[in-house]
Amino acid sequence: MDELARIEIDQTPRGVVARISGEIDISNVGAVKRKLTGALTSSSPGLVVDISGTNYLDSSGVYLLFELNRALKGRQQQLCVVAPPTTPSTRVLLITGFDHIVPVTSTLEDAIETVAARAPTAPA
Amino acid sequence: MTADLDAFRSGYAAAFRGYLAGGGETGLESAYELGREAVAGELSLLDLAGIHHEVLADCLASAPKDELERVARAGTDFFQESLSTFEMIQRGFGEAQETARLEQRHAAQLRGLADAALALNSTLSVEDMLALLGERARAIVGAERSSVSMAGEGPRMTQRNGERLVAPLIDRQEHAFGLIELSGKHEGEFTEDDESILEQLAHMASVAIENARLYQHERGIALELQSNLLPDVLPEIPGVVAGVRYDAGGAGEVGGDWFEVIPLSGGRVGMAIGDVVGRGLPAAKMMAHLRPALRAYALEGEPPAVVAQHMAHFVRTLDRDQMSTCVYAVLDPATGELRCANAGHPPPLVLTGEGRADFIAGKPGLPLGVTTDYDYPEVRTTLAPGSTLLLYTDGLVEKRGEPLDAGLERLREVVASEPVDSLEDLCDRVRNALVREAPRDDVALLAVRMLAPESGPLELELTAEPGALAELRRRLDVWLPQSGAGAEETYDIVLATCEAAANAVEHAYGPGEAKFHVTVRAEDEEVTIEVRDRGAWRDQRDPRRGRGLAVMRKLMDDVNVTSTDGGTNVRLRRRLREGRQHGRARAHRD
Repeated sequence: MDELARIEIDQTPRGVVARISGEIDISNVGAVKRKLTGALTSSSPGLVVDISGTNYLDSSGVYLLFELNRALKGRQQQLCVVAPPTTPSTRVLLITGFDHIVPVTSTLEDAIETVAARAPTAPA
Repeated sequence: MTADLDAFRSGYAAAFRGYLAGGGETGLESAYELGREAVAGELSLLDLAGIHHEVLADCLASAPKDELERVARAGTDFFQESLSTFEMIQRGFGEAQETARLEQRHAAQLRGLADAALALNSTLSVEDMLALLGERARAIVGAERSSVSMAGEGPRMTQRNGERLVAPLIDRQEHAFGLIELSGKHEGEFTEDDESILEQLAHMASVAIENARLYQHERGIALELQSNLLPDVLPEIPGVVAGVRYDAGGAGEVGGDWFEVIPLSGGRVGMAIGDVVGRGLPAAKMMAHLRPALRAYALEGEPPAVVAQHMAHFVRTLDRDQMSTCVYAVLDPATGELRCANAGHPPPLVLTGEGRADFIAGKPGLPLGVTTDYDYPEVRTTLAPGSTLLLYTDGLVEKRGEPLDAGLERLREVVASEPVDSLEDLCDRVRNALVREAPRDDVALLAVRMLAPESGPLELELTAEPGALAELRRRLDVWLPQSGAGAEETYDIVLATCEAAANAVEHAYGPGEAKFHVTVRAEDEEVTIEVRDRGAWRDQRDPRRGRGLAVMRKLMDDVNVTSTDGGTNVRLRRRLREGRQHGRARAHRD
């Protein structure tokens, strides 16, 4: 991946957390997608994508999140996005109505809770 | 006599090692005493020079690389001292003893040999040594011509006939690595004495050359490492121009100076300069760790104080006892906001467009590598358009035996003394005024100037490839706030314009390099954007493209797409309501 975006993956028992900083546009969206799907294991209850540090996200990035959501649903896993109101990229999620389809939270803790609570395969 | 020589040699070795270990004046006194002993024991100058060279060669062989220079220099002082007493006593009794034994010319040759030994040992480059060797051999033996070569295989023994004298250069592994040849003797033919003198000289030179080759090899690696790691060209960043001047320390080993200019999101620019304490390969290696680390932290978009703290943590994880200093600053060219964190480095200097120069106030934080438990202070200030930020390393301002403040004041005066000129001229002028021809230490100087706002419409011709979108964002991020757009408006217009531009890029057409054009105007509190390409508008049934258009419509007051055979033209219009004043800070992006 080039220097536009950096992704840190954290494998936790309660789900995979991917923290994306930098910018996502059509030049690197493919690489971001490969990295995110590669990080997901079948045993994980779901995926948290934290875009608190994402300064720029265009419609190709939003489309990627929609695609991820569809793929995860098919595997009985839950997607949740951390996007606090202060993050610039939150605005594009709101105007595309993304938050009506996928849970969007302000904090990482809330997102992890959401994944654990909604995932059908989550341990009791 | 052999037993005496051995005893004298061990005495000499012990005294010299004592001097190396910090003997100072007492150490030199022992050199004086050794000179007396040599005369009393009827040792010749040649014996003394030979012993000195064996001892020095031993010390050089066992000295760490960064000590070579010091050992060689100490050797020169020590030998000179022993010679001076030797010579003085020789002058007193010499007429009767030594000179009676040695003919006048031979004594002069020996003296020349001792001088050559001193000169060879204070030279560090192989090229200089070879030149010196030829020149001295000619003078001492009295010959017309000399040639010195470093050919791989040569004779292993001295060769002499009347017109020609050849001595091999032999390393510690007894491998002949070169030779010195004399021809055209001034008076008569080459003698046995000439042969023995040249052999001695070749032996001394061999040791010195071998040491110098080792040393140059390391220096070469460090220099290459350093030049490979420093950026060749600075990136072009809208709203600023940058200039750099970098000189690797000439006489000594390379240091660990480094610098970096990084385009950040939101049109901001990150600038860093750093200096690893120490020299040579270890410093260059450390620098090789630091620069990419800083780049990575900077691209995360963290403020300077946080980046400095990350760097401090990072350095501690390297598990090296090596301290380093750096400054990291972030400038927003649209607003002039400058944030700066300093880890033990000399303070950055700001030169205004009117020619005033002031250091950025505030005490520097701790150098990197000291502790991880430390919050770096961050200084915030605002630069006026036309101002220049100057980052530099201590090689520019430090002079031995002078307080740092004096060097800083000298820098401030030099920077402010002339009318403001191009960055290249500024860097050259500052460097030439403050640093002598061949600096011992590295000198790095990085200057970044904030340009006055562009007036008139923004006209861009961009290559139709995905990488162009980031460039478009950088340009808009600077131009829009300067044209009166507020923070949210800037965000909206940038996003909508880039959505339109992404269409142009994804529908690049025809053979060769395709281009597309963006024109942005701000008039009567309204921004209009035109994105023109020569491709067909993408099929709107594609869910992804539909979303791009939907995003544009949500963000803009008006979106107009005209598609003809000649290409596609997207016109976007957005009224400005949010911020009226120029240069409003985009606080929410921090």
